[in-house]
Amino acid sequence: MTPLLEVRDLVKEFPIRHSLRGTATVVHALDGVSLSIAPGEAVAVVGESGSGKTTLARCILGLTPPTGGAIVLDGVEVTRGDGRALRAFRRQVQPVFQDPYASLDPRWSVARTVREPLDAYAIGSVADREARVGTLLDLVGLTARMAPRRPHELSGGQRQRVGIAAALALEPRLIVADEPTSALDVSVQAQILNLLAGLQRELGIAILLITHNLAVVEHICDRALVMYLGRLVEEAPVPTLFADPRHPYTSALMAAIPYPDPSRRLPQTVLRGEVPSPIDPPPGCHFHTRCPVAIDICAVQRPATTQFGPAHRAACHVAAVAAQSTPSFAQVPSVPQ
Amino acid sequence: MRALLATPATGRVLDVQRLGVRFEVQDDVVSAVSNVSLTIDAGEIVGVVGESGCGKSTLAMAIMGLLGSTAHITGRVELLGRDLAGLTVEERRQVRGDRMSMIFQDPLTSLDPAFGVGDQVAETIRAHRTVTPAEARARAIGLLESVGIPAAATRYSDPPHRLSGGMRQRVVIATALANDPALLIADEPSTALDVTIQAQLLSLLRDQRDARGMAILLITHDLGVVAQLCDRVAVMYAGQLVETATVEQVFRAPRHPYTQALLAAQPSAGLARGSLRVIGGQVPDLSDPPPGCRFAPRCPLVRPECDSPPELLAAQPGHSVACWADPATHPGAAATASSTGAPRGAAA
Repeated sequence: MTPLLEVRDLVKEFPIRHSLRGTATVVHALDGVSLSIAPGEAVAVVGESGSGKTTLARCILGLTPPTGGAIVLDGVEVTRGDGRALRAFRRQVQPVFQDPYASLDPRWSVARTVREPLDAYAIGSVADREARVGTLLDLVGLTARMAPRRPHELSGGQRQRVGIAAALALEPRLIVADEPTSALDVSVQAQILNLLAGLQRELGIAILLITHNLAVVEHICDRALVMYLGRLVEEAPVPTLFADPRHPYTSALMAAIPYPDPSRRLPQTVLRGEVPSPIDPPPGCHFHTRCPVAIDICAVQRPATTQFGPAHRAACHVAAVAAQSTPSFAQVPSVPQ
Repeated sequence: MRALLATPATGRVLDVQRLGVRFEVQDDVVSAVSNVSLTIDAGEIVGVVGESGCGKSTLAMAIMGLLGSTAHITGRVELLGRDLAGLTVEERRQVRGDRMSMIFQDPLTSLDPAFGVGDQVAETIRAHRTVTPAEARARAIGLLESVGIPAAATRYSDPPHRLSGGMRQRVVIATALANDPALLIADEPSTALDVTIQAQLLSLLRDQRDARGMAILLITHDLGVVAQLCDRVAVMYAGQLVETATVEQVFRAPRHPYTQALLAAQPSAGLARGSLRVIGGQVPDLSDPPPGCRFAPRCPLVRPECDSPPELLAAQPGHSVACWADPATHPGAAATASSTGAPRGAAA
């Protein structure tokens, strides 16, 4: 299947200037990230603070220009395109943000917020747009009574539904949702996750879900990508990732999930230390400073991506060596870096 | 304050009886906490779990005595056998940071940005103990090391912004533990942190409890954190406790329909997509709560008795529930309907 969206070797660096010392340093937010999303697929990007997952989302949304690499929608490269290409692209790819308290204009009614994308792209007549607002509110489980209300009159879950309705207004083919439920209570989070799963299933909209919460991934995504310090370390179909993680960081991340089950208590040591600074990331494999299984080469050479199964790839020297000694996993020289 | 409050032989550290907190807001009276009774023994970790606005943080602040004059507090809070309401303002100030201490969600706002992290730990010691500055410094360094700050002596004068979020929370924990409190209240201590750092913090809290034998009251919205860390759990809804139990009881056999719904709303493996349980309706307005059970308007098991408030009653040893539909505490109640029959799926 032709991918809907392809991200090729994306690099984003943010320069930082020290005004007193006059020196300039660079934050390496994204360091060669490649991924693809098929039409209607739900893909998760998982990582902790500083992994670059939000920068990745912002680059894909066209909110942050990448330093290098390409973003391709339906075979058309948008990164190098002109304003018109970007405008067409944005119609296809819509955001849902983390904080529904900050992402809605407090002075605008629900109806105006949801109608705004239709106005911006001058879609249909004014009457058409009004009617469309009603349909959209219905689609996200809000009633027409909500239309004249302002954000302060809504609960957090209702606000996030308004944000999703606005994202759906242009009938996008991909929704990029950056931590859409992390500001919400668990019972409200369940409503929003069910809603997103329903939109993907019934409208066939692809979803790129940016999250730090692996339990959420397990619930609504087909495939997951794990990021660490600006790089993809592993990608796999969600069941494979959970059953057979190959990268030690993925394993650690899964071991750190506090399951609501007292018989599955966390191991004493999940992972030592903290994520190093993206200004001066460690050489070789970025994870080697915290890795429980690191070998000498890890501190020197960036690991290539090894294929472990259908759609299952990880970038780890140790896992690659282990797979070579196990004949069931053929090492395919697929290195999209 | 050691003379004022000594650990009694029973090991009971905190005894909260029928605690109520009301706020007068213009013409409204909001009862944020009603009729909460809770005990914690030395060495025990008790979690209070609930969603936004359920009153769990207000409960913690009331126990600490940190609510302002707008709060009307009723009921009794006993720490180490002493009724805290009987203490003068100055005595309470001496108890806080010494016999009881608190850590908050956001470590950046609980530390002073202008002072070295070590000084902030030392200050807590000097506020309650007669020690020389050198002794306070040495103890502060020891505390920072014990909470896992590497090279604590060289980090001593670093301001908080030089430390990562996880390290800052470790400093806050060191400050809270500085005077070996009998009770540590932790309000969402790991919510602002990444999962691998959260895992480190949770095991640090458990280790410190094991080493010092203090009681911990953990306030959280995260059932996962409760399952990982707590010995006992109190589930709070709309200002009241609806269920108290050991952690095994509450996760294996939750009795209150709200607890059951909360557990079913938790994303976990093996569920069909889009089938997370949703609790219909809204949390009640606490300036005008329902007269009976506050969960009744959203409850799948609602019955006529629910118009009057249910008491928190023991259904089994160690397991209490406030529900008219519970067959053990209200044997007359025909518990036919199963709460799994509640509305499922999204409104989409």
